[in-house]
Amino acid sequence: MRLSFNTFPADSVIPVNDFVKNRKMAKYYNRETQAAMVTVGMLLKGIDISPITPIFYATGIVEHEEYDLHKIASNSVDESGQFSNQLFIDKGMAQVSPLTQFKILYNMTLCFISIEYGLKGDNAAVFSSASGLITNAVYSTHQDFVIIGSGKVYADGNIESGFAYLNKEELEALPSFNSMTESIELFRYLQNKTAPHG
Amino acid sequence: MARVVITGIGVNSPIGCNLNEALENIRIGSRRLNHIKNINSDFFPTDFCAEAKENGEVIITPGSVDRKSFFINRAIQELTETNDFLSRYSPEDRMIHIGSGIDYFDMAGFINSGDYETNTWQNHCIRAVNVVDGIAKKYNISGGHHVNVSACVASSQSLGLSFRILKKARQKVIISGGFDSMLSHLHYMGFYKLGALSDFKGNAEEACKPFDKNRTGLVIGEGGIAVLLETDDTAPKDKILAEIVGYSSTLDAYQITDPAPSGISLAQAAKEAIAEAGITPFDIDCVHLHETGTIKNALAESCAMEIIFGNRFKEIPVYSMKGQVGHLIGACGAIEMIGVVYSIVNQQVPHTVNFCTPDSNVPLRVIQNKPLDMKINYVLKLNAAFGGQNTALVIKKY
Repeated sequence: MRLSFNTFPADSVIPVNDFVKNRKMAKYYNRETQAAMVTVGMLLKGIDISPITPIFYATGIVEHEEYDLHKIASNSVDESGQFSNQLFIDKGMAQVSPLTQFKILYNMTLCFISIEYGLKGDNAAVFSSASGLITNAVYSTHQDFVIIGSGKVYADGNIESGFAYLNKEELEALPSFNSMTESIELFRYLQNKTAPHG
Repeated sequence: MARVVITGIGVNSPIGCNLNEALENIRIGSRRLNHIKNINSDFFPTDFCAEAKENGEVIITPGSVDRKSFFINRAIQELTETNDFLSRYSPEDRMIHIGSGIDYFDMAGFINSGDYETNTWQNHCIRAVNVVDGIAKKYNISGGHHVNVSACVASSQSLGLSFRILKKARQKVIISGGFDSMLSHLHYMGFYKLGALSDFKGNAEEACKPFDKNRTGLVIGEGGIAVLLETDDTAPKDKILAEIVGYSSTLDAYQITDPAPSGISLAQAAKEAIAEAGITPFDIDCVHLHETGTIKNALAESCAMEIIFGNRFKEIPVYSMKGQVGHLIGACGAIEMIGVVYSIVNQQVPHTVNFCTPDSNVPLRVIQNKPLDMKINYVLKLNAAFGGQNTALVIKKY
């Protein structure tokens, strides 16, 4: 098993351009995706990855990134302090870039990775759960190595990102997690059990 | 290996709030596209949608209610009333694998409460993962519960994973399906900003035109659909609606905004699902496609059809439900599974509503005006997601 696990402080610049070929795509990335591109880049460095390698990614419960909510809301309030439909359309949503939607959709991190590495095989984007992530990977019909990953943006803005490249036997040997245990916990567990490569 | 069967479906959707109502609305080709009624859409640049209806009336909920959660709770309630699976299986033998979309956010509540001033937004967000956790607790489901968020293939991937688990006989019963509603201020306008919504100028019922030469984009729908899957050795035979026999998912790895025009990866998913079913493309009787009413989706699916079926691709009857119910995003594969069950049970391919003018670049056999009677043993169900995820399921008459 290869493992890559990173922590990025809230105010840090994530060096995503050092890890992606198509830097124009980076404008679509939220910070969780930026962290993922760096972490999966470190994981796959030197590996001749097959395009049919499955990838499963679990996005963490969003605690920090607010995707312009405050900006939209501030511009959608009428004089009495209440929500105004007209202001919401005329001013609130006018503050939002169309690109924001790419940062909100939960499957985007998975899809950006697939595009960057040409991955075309089995896949799933899971919401948060470590056991959900493992279940998807374990039941993949692909018999060789798979990639699993997860990211989490905490309320204080700190980010954790973890990825592993492992075979079926290693997948089956992973411990059980409660359905509500966040997926990043799996990678923190692996980080403590396994020395990072490189 | 176990055989995996569908033994019940609970539904809250634009085509009705129980399975029989939904099947009948498919048969008669009900068009449930309209203008938004549940939220104030004054000043919206467009307001086409397909809201969930009960007895023909839009279900109205207050702004604090996450509609998708409301729908899936009701759908599962229906499931428990029409199938006694809770009494037949222990809590450890029950699971939930279900698809969903972006979490609900109550923008008006965020502002009116004053929380926007401190940007304390978390309390106004309702998370699908917590909703499903609540359902698991309510029905004593302790075999595991997970939410797939693969956008437009979330529910079909959930069905696929459930199929894989049951096929290996690692579980007895799984509630699968999907729940989603983008019909809130923030999410509806977010999708509008993407440029994906239909800009049709005319009657709302015609705003989504799958396969049509003059198609103008997608219309957002909503709903909660709970699909009950069991292994056939323990399923009550009189409840079996259909059998799932193949599943695959692939990625385009092409662009984040558009499907791969070649349709190669979508076709690959179909080939793998067909192979898992132990059949060949010649055994597929009809195809229920994803077709959203967008220019690019129809072209990509047409190319995929040619790769899958060769010269036969113009002869196989195809169907898209989205002219009737809109695009349910995280629940679209689940609502469209009802269309598949319709085909299996009634031995008919439904007609695609709002398809009037054929597109020479999409030379598929789209059924018009009334359902096509034919012998149906195998249905191929395809879906594709924003970002490039594809799914294929093969469903068989049991």
